[in-house]
Amino acid sequence: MEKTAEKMKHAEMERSTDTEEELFFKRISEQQRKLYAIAFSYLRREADALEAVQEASCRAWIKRKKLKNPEMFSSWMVRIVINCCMDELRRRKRSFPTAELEERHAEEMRSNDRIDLERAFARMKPKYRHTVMLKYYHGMTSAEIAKVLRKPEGTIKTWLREGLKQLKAFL
Amino acid sequence: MMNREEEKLQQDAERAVREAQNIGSMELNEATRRGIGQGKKRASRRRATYGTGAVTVAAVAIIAWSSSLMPGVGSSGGESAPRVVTAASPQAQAPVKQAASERLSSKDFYAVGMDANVARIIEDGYMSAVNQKISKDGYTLTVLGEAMDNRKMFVAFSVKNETNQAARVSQSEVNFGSNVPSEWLSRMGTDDQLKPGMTGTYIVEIGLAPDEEYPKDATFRMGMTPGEFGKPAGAEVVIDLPFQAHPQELMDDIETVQVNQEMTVSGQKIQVKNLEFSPLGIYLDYAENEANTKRLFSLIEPKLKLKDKAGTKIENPRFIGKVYDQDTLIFEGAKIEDPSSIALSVAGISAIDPEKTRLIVNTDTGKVIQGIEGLTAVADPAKNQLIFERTAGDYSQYDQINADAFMLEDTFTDASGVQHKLTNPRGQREDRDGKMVESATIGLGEGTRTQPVEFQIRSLWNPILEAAELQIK
Repeated sequence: MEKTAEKMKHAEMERSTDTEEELFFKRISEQQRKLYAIAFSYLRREADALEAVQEASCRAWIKRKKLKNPEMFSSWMVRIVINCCMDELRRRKRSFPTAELEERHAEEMRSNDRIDLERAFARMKPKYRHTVMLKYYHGMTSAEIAKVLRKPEGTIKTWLREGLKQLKAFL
Repeated sequence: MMNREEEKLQQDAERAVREAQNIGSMELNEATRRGIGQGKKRASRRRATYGTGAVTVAAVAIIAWSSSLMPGVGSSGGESAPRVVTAASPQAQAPVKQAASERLSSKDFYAVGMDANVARIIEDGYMSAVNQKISKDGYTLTVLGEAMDNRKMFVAFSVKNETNQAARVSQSEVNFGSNVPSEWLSRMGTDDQLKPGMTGTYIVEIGLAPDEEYPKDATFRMGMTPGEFGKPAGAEVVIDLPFQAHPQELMDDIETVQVNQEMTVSGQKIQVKNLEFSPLGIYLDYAENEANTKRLFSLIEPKLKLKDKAGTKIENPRFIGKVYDQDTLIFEGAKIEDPSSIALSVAGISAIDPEKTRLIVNTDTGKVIQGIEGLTAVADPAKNQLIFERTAGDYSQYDQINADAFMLEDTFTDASGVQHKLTNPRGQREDRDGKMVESATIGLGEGTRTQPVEFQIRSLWNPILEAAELQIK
């Protein structure tokens, strides 16, 4: 008897999760192109950017109940995707298989500017990098970036200034 | 004036944006779905690990129990174990036909994420067992079971990756022979990516044509592509497994209610033709009245209300969605049999003046000569594509859940009357400064086009919120 009740409860839980899943999927799917573009601007490889969107969707699902204000969903997702990208960049730094390195090298031979920029970004403090990326690559305003990075707008403006200064020094 | 570094940033950003646009919506949807699926699994693992002692034990027990029943996951046989067709790799051998029809149970699918309606179908015992297996090039495919009515089919299958490299399920479909229509709709279940030694279990949803007589002989086709998503490491291995479907199995359980009544929303008449109660779902067919002054895109928030004979039990089956390109709504199956009262209600319709569905555009310059309010177009001659964009009011959660996507018909006509086909159409909706901005990017195909050209809108969110209800029975 207890087992049956447990099974029914389990099935009920599964059902409500599935409905929630559809709504959640819908919400992400409306943002997914933007999320992908952000991931792509960090990682510059289609497969990795897709992976970042996938991982961000995964983390977002797990943490969905921690998001108190639904209106912040978009900024929250952007923040998660950026974190996924940074994890991937750190992973790349730690272990870079030779074949991938060669392939990457060949790709990058096409653009010296790209290599310079990537190196400069890698040397920048992450907070400056995010600010610069979100402004220049995704056209976000300081107010929007402030929402994503959960900092006052004034701080973002300072970071942007500092970011450009660092970029100038590294390029 | 721009600094050198800002210029570099700008150029690189433009390049990144251009390159990022090449991704298809399907790949993005797939990545998002897989991510959510992984999230569900990770969350359940966390619950099992961090829960109370009792919960931990129960969770482990469920997982272990279901693993022992899962074909291919350490299963050593047992009564539900599928019959193995011995097939020497790489050449697949003919499968053995199933012995007897039995039903699959939900316990076989505890670890598999699926849509609530499909979970109900299995729980209610509507999925007939097939249990046929075939091996090819290191992959073992098992068709576990299927359930079909006259509109759709669900096939449960599993695949074991016995090669030494990761591979992903790249296709899964059902064929009933040439000229017999069947359309892949969706796939749910385990992550598509299978590491060596892993088994994935899935349920694929196939669309069927209601008027077609389906034979029992069917072939399940599955493709496995070595490597990771976006990084194939070898050619796709296609595996065909003939099996016996059960086209008549659920037919006696289907009840059709002829309705033929009209519902009026904002002066537009919608004829509700019939309602079909199937174990796989409830289908409601409707049609627009030809005399309507607006083109109807969708019914907003359709709800069914069923009452049992005693009038005490009420059920509102969940709305699942609309059949693409057909005026059919699908609801989750109901528990109330032979309801004494059935009512359909809607919160409104999405509709527009038919003349406004015509978009006349110069595809060379992006100039919109005729079109809906707020529509802009940008021509990208280098890519031979056009990007439409429109703001569809304020962004809200309600709209985001209910809105129809902005889509165009598959063909357009140039000023000389020559018809052209759209290539790689894709759409996007986003929250931009509190406004819902929709865009549609379309490839214009090869050949010359006499300007301007005419597109037709297939789907658009233009809500007219006026509630209406129709008492069907």
